[in-house]
Amino acid sequence: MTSGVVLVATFVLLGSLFTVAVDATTEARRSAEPRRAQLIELITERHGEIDRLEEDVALVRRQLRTAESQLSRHAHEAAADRRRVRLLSGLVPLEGPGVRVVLTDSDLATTDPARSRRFRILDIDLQLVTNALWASGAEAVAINGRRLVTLTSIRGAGRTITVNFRPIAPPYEVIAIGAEMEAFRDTGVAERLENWSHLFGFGFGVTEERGLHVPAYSGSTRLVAARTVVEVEE
Amino acid sequence: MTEGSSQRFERGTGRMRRLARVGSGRLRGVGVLVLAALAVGVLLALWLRPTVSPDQGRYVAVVFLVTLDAALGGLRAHLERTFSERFFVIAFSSNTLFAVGLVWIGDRIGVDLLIAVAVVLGLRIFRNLGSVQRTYARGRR
Repeated sequence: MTSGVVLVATFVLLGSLFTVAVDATTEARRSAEPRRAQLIELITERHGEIDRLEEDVALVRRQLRTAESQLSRHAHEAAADRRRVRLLSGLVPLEGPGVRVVLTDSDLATTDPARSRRFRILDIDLQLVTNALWASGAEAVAINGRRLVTLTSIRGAGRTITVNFRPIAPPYEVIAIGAEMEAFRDTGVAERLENWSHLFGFGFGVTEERGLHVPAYSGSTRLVAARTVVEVEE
Repeated sequence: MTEGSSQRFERGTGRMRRLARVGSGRLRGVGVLVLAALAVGVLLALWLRPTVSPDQGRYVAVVFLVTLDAALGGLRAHLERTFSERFFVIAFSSNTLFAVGLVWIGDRIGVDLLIAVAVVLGLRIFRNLGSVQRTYARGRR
């Protein structure tokens, strides 16, 4: 009879074990389910985030392109400005039609040192000539290869004349691109020099030429006292 | 064999009728007792509701297989009148310990030995089931 009891107990155990095992498996499956759903949700969420970030990237790229094109335009404008400034300030060599004025000291010798000044070309003469040339339309002027710019000085130092603080020797050749010969000849300075050339024996030749060459200013452009009012490059 | 067993598990009432037709009072009583014991076990588990984590669930499944094997073996021995209480208890407990220990070691070394236990016990279960069926068939004759 005990053998039957043992067997019955075994079957009771079997039934309960079966139920518990089924329970545990169901439970495991059910607990795995929300995690799956959570993962799916997370993936969808992250995909959305990626899409959003990609849009951001595209937007920033567009902004970058706009800024780059703006920058290149500004750089272009700045370069053009720079070129214009260099051109106007005489830092580039120029070529073109204009007037060539050649001045030479008088051949008439004099022994009187006090009167010798009258037979030489003086700094004031060159100043007057260049001013007259500017007045008759000159855009670029050079004396003996020395470019005239806003900082230029024409000074006499003893018997020599300095242009841009460098001595020059006669004959003095003034080249003025853009000047018109007729206009220059009509100036008082030209008339006076013409007269004096007859009176004192100066050499004074004025010719109109094409393809004149004026070199660039090679001196220092550093300003000592002056300051720019508008911001300019260099 | 499989056809007969599936037919038997398909409809409980059919099975009962068939068991009733066996004629032998002893065999009929055993069948009713087995079913009643199973029902009691299921109800007991449903009533107690033991909480088992998924990890422990594997061990419950192993114990279930060992118990199924032992129950069918015991039933077979009982029907063949060779049931020994001592042998049954020793075999059942040692099988349980060994199977659970095997699965535990398998989990430690990363090999799913639950499969091995299930295959071996499955073979034994079918063999015992076959013997029980034969006994019933003999009793019917």
